Amino acid sequence: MDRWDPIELTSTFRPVLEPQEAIQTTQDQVGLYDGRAKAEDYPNGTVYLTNYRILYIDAKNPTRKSIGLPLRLINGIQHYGGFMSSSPKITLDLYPRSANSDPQSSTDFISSHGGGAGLDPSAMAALTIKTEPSWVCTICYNSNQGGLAKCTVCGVKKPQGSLETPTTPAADPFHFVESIPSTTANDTPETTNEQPGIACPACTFHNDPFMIHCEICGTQLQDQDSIAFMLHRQQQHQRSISQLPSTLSQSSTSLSTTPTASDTTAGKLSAPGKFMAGMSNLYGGSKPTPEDANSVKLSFRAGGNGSFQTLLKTAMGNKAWENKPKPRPVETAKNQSSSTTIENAPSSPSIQVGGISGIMRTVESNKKVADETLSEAFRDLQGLMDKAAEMVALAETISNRLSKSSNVNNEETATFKTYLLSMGIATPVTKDTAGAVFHKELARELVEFILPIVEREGGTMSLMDIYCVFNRARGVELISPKDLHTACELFEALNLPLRMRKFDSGLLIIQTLARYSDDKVSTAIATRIQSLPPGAGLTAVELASAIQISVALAQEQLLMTESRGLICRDESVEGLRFFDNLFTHWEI
Amino acid sequence: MSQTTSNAGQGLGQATTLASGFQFPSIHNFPPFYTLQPTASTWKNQSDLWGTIIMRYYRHHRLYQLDLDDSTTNDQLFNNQRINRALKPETIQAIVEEMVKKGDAEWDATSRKRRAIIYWRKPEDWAAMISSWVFETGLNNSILTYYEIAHGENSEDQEFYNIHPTVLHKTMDVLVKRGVAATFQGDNFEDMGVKFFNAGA
Repeated sequence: MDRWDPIELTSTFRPVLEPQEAIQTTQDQVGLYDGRAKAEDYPNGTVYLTNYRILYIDAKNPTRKSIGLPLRLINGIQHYGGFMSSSPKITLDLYPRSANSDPQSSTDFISSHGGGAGLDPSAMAALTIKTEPSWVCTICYNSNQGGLAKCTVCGVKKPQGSLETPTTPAADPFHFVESIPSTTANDTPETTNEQPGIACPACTFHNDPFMIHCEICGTQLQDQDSIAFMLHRQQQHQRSISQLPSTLSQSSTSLSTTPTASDTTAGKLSAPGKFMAGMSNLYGGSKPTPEDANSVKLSFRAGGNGSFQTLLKTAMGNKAWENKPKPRPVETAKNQSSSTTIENAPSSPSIQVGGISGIMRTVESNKKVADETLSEAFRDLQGLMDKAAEMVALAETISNRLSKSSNVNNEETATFKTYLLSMGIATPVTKDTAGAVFHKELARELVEFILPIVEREGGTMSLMDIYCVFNRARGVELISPKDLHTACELFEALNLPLRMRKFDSGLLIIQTLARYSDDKVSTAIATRIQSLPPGAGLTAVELASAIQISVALAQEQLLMTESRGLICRDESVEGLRFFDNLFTHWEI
Repeated sequence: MSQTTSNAGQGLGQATTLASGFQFPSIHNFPPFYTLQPTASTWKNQSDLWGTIIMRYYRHHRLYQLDLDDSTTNDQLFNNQRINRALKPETIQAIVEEMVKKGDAEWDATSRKRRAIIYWRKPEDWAAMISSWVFETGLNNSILTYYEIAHGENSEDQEFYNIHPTVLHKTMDVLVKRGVAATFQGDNFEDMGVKFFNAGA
């Protein structure tokens, strides 16, 4: 539990996010376990998963008992599906706390230098993937990334005696992720890589095993069956490349079903399972072991564990925290390395490359370049989104600067501020990120955003106006009027400082708790009308322009004042005007 | 009902005075006075004020019947050309309805709430007035027709001269109930007779 840090909350009890931090998902009714024992101080709360942290906000005492755990401290994830009255749980194994260096600096060190002096073995294991040397395929001479078990171009297995340094198996979750293609490849018969090549029956040239016709004389090299087999293999190979992400998710679900502590069939488990079972066995004793300090359990009493786990894995895989200072240095580095691989490929020891296999490789590499361009384009879109967040920050800065400087005339400042204020919400709550607690989260976000605006508007705004302003600020993540209405209905239950209210005419408004009261408004209107020249009335339009509110709201306020008997109406062809209620005290 | 006009209506302009000598209170120039106020408490005050003005106007002009379909009789009462406002017939109807509730008016049963008698004097008051007139003039113990009371030579200077037949009938009913008089059926309304007794006089 000591790994968790207290976190900052907004006035509506949502977490204050760091720049670039975005909420991935939200789940309520989650309890925390410290090692194996329930953490008594954190029995029930809402858990937010961001790309940097896991945040726990207590349902009862949000101001005191809200804590966060950086994702970078998490070493592995275990999943327990729940049984009978026991809720589904996700166990987070944390890296052991290193005695000398604090985790923040150590991970920063990893990401920036790629070296691991003085680090614990598991962190080292995590590093090995990045530091593994690349190897050259014996068949197509493609230079492959160290972690790959087979060639990315032709799918041939990595030769045994390669330079690659063996990694500690199962010490690092990302290792499984990386090694999954090898297991799928193992399922298919691997016979060709033992053969040196196919000798042409006509000219005896040793052709590449992939060849169907001789590269020299064009004689058919193999019978129909083996051709069919070759085609089948090629298809499979392509599929396994294209399905890489889905295989990953499959593998994660298979991980999630691996038995944990209670299971004794650890011997049958695959490598990750073995590791986890080993960890669980360590927990076997009721006495807290040192490992207890390195694990935290989240108990999902209202479900939602499955999607939470998937998103947690994604977030951990993305390692967004490594990109904090400079956006995406690792990825760009990767891009460079992969692009250089392609450029280098023809000049690398592949002098013998030629003929059809060469053409095939060119096609392949062209395809790769196209893929990369595509993903680059989408990354730019992502970059645009990131920039949007920066734009909001910039807008705020300008707004602050404007309020200090007195050079600009007031009207311009006011207009400009209006624009800035409606610029945007950096990380809007969506159904994807908030899930079951969507409307609650939406209500909180809405209050955070709209409160200053409502106060500026004099304490009341019609729901229609709020819908427009709010959706404009959300940009692309628009919400439906129904969602807004539902969220507003929750204001009272969530104890937020705004209330929705329905006028007799059906007009819905949002008003602040503190500043708005019918008494105050009606008295103010009555006083305003009494101060008018005798015999002159006030229309809703005049009131609206005088106190800067919408006409519909002005009308409602006038009607409300009228219903309190403070003013009376005059209906004529000129419209509805309101006058001081002279009838009350008139005596004849 | 006090006769002192409060100062709340300052600025509504000088109270209108008609050629007949009737003076409207200045609230008659208040535009909202011609709109049916939706707020209950405001409407009560407004309808009370209208009731008072109608009764004063009717008493001043010796009018008894208010006919919603006859716009000429009450033109000056319900139509204020100075501020270009007029009461709508349904608002007048609502005002009369309020007066009926208070006993200041009564709908003509056959008119479907289009005509009403305005009791600017209650039948009880008329009864007292007529019976004292009868005893003063020594007409008791003799039979009088309704016509003689309403239009006879002896009643020309009386306030009930030209009294509305319905009002007269109501007044006689009151007297009969008190046992002061007895009525006799005639061929028509004006031929009906009444005899005042000495008893109780």
